Amino acid sequence: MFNNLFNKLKKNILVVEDDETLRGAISDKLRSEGYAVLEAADGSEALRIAFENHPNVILLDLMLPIMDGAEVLSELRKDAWGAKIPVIIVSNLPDDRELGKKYNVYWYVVKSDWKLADIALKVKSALKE
Amino acid sequence: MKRNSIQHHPPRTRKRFSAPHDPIQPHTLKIRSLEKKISEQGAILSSIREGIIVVDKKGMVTLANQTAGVLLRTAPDELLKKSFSEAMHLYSKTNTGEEYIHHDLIGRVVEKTDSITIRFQDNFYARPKYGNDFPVAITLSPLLENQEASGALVVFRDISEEKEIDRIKSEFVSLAAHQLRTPIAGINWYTELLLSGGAGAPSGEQKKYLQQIYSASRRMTDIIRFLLNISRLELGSIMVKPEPTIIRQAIRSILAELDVQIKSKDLSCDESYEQEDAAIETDMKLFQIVMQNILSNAVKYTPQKGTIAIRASLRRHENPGPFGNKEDYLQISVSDSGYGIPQEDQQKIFTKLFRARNVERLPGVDGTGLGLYLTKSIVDALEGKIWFSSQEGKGTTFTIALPLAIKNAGKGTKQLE
Repeated sequence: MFNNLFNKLKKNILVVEDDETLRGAISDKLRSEGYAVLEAADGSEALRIAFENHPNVILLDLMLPIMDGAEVLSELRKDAWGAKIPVIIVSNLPDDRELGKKYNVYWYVVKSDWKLADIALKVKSALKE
Repeated sequence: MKRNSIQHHPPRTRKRFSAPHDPIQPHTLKIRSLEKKISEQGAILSSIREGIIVVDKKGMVTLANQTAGVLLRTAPDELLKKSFSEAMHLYSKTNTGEEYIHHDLIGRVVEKTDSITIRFQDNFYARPKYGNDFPVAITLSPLLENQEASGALVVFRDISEEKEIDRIKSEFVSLAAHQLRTPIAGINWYTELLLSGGAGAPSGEQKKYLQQIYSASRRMTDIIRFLLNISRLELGSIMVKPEPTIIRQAIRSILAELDVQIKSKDLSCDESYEQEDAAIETDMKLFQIVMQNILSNAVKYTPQKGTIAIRASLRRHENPGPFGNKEDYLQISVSDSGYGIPQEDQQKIFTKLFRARNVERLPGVDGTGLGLYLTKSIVDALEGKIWFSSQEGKGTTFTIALPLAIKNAGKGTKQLE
């Protein structure tokens, strides 16, 4: 009961990552920072969870099965709620400034170069906490 | 008197078919053998799979073989009497995709009586009369008569196949490096989680080992980024996106990344900026890759308690500067009190996979031999210049000069990171 209430007060972060190992690491880190974490392993699952749960921030990989990250962004930005949700791209592709501008991406993170602690800080600043 | 006696030649003076006494025979034979030689050489010339062009002193084509005609899509006869640059349109491609036309290669060969070899990595292309341009390797050598050049011999071949194999190699490196990034991120992140005590606080010794894993894995991350950048560079040309870049700020963020290494070696780092807020119009990210390489080299190749000095100044030159004109530019130098580069290695410093002899086997100092090759390629793309001075055992100073604004951002296709 208390847990439920507490969970409702927590900020929701959606982690979209097809590699289970990496998804686990980011999710664990964010949970340890006190966030409620939702997980998706492909693009279409990401959209479904996003529209159902309206998370506060989305961490989005670009190379994803079924629908890639750019398609997810394009669908997301068509929606009234989705247009405003901060999205942090977490990818191993080089920083794509064009894509970032086009879809108003909050930040661009290269997985192999970033520490989890720094990703958590970016999430925090995206939430304007 | 016998009428016929005179006409009767004594047999000993009449040597039939003996060449030495025949005034016409020896020349005919010589001509025949020369003709045979010429036709043999013609056959050799036309079956050689390299294009061969001979030009005279003035650069006019005097001979072209079959293959030259095939490669340049022009009948060999049509190539004759043209100037070399008309007969063979040559250009090279820079790292930013610019085309640079070479007009006076023949002049240089004839004047200096020295050969020019244009290799695979020089990125030369020939534009035939019809059809597609092709990558080309060329040797131009002077034709010497009495120690003076009477013309030049040009031997060239289409290296499309080599280029294709090289492209496949680079694509493989790119793909492999990219694939390695996911597991590396996994190692980095889980080590970080263990170190942060997320799964229970590690003991002193455990923590030390975890830190070793972490730093080895970060090194691997850097190598992978290097390989990706190099393969991207080789698969295309560097994409340049100029934006206002505050020099001090850009350098500071690189120094912050190197802070751990600087502190652990107890290096003193001195910065001096002529103008605190000096900014130039350049590609900030590429500029940072350049500074990252130069600064991390300075840190890596300077022993404990050494010094590193960074100087940045805007130069307004009345005299020709590094760009050969009176253009204003930004100059940044990074000096260290490190191991230095041995004199005999200095020429090769910007070539791929090069490592100086004196640091190759230093314990704890590893390098890929790719850093300065990449740095030079990027500085070129930023329309800048890079040079250095070094003394073994005393230290090295790398200096870069960058224009205040990039004039031609080029048509580069590959983004570096």
